[in-house]
Amino acid sequence: MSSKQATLDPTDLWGLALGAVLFEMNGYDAANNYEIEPTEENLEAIRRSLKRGWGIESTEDLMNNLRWLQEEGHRTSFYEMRSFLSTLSMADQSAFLETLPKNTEKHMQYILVKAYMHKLPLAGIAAWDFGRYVDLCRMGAFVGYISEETSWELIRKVAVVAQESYSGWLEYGISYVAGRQFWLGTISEEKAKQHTDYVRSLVLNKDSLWRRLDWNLKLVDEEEAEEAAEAEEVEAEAVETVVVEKEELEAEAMETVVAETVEVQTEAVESEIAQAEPAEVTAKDAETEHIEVATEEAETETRQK
Amino acid sequence: MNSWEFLGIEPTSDQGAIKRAYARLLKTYHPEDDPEGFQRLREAYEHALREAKFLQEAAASGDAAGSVFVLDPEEEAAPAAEAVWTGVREQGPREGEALEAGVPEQAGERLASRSFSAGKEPATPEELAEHFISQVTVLYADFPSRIDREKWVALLEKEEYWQLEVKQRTNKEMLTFLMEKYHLPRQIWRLLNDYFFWTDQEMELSQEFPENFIRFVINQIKKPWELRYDFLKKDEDSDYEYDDFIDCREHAFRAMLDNELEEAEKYLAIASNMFTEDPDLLRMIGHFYLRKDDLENAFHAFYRLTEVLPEEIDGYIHRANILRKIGKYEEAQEDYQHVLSLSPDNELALSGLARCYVSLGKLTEARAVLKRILVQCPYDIDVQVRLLALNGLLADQLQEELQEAPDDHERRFCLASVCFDLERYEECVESLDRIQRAIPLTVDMELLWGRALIKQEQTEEGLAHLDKALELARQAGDSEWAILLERGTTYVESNQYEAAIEDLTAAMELMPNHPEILHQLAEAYRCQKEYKRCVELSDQAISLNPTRWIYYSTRGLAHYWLNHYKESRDDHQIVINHEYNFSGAWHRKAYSHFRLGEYDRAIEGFHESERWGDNELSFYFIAICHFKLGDYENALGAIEYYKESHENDPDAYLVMGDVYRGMGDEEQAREVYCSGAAQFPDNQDLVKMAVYSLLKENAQTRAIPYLKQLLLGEDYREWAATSLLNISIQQGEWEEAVAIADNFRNVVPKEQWDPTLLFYAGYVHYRLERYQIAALYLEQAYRLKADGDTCSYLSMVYFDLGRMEEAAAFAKKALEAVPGNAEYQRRYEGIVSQSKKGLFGLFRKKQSSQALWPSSLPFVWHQELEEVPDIHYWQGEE
Repeated sequence: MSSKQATLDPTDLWGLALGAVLFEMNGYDAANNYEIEPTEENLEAIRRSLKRGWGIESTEDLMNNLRWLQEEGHRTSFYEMRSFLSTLSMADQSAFLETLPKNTEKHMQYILVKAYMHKLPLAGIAAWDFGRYVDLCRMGAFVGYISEETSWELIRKVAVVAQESYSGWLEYGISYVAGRQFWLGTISEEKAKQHTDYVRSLVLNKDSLWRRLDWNLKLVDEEEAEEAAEAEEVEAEAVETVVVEKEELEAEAMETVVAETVEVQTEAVESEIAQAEPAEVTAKDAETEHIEVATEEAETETRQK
Repeated sequence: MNSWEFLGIEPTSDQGAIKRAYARLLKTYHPEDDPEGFQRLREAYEHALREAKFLQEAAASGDAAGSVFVLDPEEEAAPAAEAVWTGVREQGPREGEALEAGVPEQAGERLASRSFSAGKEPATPEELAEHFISQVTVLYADFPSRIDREKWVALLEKEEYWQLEVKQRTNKEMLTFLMEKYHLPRQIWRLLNDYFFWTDQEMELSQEFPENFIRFVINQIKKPWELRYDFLKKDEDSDYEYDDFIDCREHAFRAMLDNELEEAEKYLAIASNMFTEDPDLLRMIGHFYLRKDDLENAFHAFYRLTEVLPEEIDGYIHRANILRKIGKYEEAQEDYQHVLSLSPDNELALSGLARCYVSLGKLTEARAVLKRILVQCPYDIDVQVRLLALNGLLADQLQEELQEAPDDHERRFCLASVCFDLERYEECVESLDRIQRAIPLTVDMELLWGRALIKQEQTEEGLAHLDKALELARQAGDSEWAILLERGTTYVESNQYEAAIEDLTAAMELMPNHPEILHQLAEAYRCQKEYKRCVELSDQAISLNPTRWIYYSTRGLAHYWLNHYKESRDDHQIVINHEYNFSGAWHRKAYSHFRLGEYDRAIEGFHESERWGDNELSFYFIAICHFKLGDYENALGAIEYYKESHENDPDAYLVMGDVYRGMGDEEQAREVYCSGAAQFPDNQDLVKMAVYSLLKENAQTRAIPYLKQLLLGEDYREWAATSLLNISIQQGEWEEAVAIADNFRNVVPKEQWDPTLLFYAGYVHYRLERYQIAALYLEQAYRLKADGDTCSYLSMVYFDLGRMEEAAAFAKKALEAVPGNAEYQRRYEGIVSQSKKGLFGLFRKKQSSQALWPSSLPFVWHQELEEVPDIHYWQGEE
């Protein structure tokens, strides 16, 4: 990590704060915004931990893991269990839990889902996926699997999503540790206390990132956002226009053909009727009409080309 | 139109087909809606059944008239048929008599009476089965009856239906019926299952019926949840079908389970157009809107739910959550309180209430509620973290308030308690100290002080305060068990087990079914090595609260030390399910697997134990496990690894040698045993194995020093002595041998020697011409074991002693023992001929027997150890 971390701008600091629990757990210094000294020892340690914890040994590995966290993460299985359980009545939820063999991971996970499903927001334990995403970005940049710039770009994107998913740092933090607990599949009191300890200083310490940063910080510059949105709209309109024009042309062409066909037919009919009239006049008229029709047909052909 | 046309099927003897047709048409000719149509249907059905029977009988009897023909009641019946059906026809429906609208039960009964009132013979199983199904049909057709358990019970309990033959038929018929008509509440499914035992026949039934249908049936019986039938009603002006509603609701349910919201919306809408007061539907609608983040509509749905079913908590809880989210805290509070009145410990309500309190600024109340939740759900991190944040807030708030009002002792006590929660023990103690200066402390204050001191590891001072707390409680007649539990636990943690047992037993008497008390007492007993008592108490604690892993750890340990390896294994499994990094638990589990012969699991466990806690012994055991599985390669790897870090452990050598021996590499085994024995001469097993492998290779001289080492010990000294004598004899070192024998006699009296040893001793003395002593040894040997060699050499000795008669006698005994032995023969003949020399022999210097008849070395074998295990390992733990 560059010494830039000490002087991050607020939006990036906000993004960084999403990963704060892991930074705290690993003992990095909050006062330094969790900056790590780029010593050989640290580099080696982090490389090893990326390998052991995630199987990451290359940029590709890192990107695959990030993609997984973004698209699926562990929140997905929480959602599945939650959809199932919350559809049942509360009495039936308890009955269902009774049928599961006790002290198994599944049983404990369902207990946790039951406890949290109506207390965490719709995003559920996504916080845990987000937090680890940020951590991987920073660690990946530290050891050089991705550039600093890339890591901050990625973090900015996930920050926006995280901000929409939760309403405050406390809620985010709770969802984070709940996610970790769910993944461990344990309802041990000791583990719960341990997890609470992970967020202790973030929650209690007045100088912690979570207490300093406003959850509702404007993460995206409004002007920029508007411009970007406008640009998108303009592009979209342009595309639409092209499409519309094309359609109109086609429609016109169709109409013309139809109209002409009708005309031709009408004329043909008229000419029949006319033929029933005195032959001389009729013949002449018919001829004229024939010629007119022919001309129009030729014109139509020309236009259509 | 005749019956078959009406039913829309071809004439057939297949009753199932008729029934299915009838069932199909019930939809069209519903008894309530179209009573006349229903009556016609009923009659067609009955008629078709009768005909089917006739057709069957005709076919069976091989009647020429067995060709299918249709009996039309409007036509004149053929005389033969008439005879058969007469009775029935007379009883046929009378003109103008119609079934009353909407009373299908009576119709059923009348039909029943029709069948039986002819005064015919008792009904056959077939008829009974038919009758049963028709009853079922009628019952099912009327929705209120369909969901009325009593009516079904009345039907199922009729004795006639319990006959085996009847049941066999009705079983199939019933399932066939259910394939079309399956909208039943769960309790009816279960009732039917009690009668038909479908859940026991799943496999057989899947052969005859579509597999997914049978699965459906089993599921209806077994599932722990249900969408209820109890609340379905139809007003006069509504025209939906119950079954359609039920189907829609079920579709919506499945969509909601999978979070297919579009699909769910569709079916929820259709269903709610039919009927708006079904609580299960309303609940699903509410949750649908919650998932769409549409609080307003969700609110309406849950509101309705509370009106429709006020005794269920679901509506109130979710309504309250919504109210809270939109800031209506007072109203939310009311709802939460209402839920608690119905379900006093409901965590969701308590959580919600706490959050309301926080929003309303009632911080101390909120804290109390959160702590209450943690008693039941200590794993709830949402509560733990909120409590943490709340305590932080409260600490600041209280401190501010106390600036203004320093003598508010209640507040200060609250602050002390909050500080304790925040692990700020010094501040906690400070506050209490301050209070103490102003007023006498209460029980709770002393208790808190004690606990804070104990947390700070000032155990003695802490205990003093607990003592005070107890004293105060006694004086006030207050409950003491909580204090006794606290003090008892502290005693356990500070290794004062007797005091702990005293306190905890007293606590248990005051509060008999408290799992924590039972557990701590179990711990105390365990530490006192009273393992049985520990197990008893742990069993109780676990039955009261099966979710605390520490209880299983305590019990598992006790089982472990009692060598109850199955129980130890199972208990420690639960521990590691909860605490995957508990190295000790892994080790004990692994060792239990090991003792149970489950070597694969043992290996896994030992690896995990080592991974999480640097367990010293892991690789030692891993090696042995691999050995037991015949995997010598891995065994070697493991024991090598172990040996590297345990140079001072003779067992490392022992096992390594055993592994080489198992691999067939005797040379390496010998190397290892010998180097080990050289390093650890006091380790009997190691030395023994060194000897064993040396002797195997006939390296007797090398073995001698080790054998002498074994003489110093107890386990193998006899064997060592025997082997040493053997070697000396082979080498002709008689003096040496005698020395060994004499020395050994000092350690183990001759009376306790085994015959081989005695024999050797006798033999060497014989070779040294110490015949008296030789005789003593050999005689004793003889008394214990009269084998050929003993007898023969005894005879020599007697010869040399001049006791000719005995010499001859024993020489003869030798031959009797081993007839045909050339040496014995020679000696015997020799003795006999010498004796005959009589007086002359007295004067001539006699030649010794050895000179006359030299012995071959009688024994070139090496003494086998009684028992050489293929691998040595500890049977017990230190």
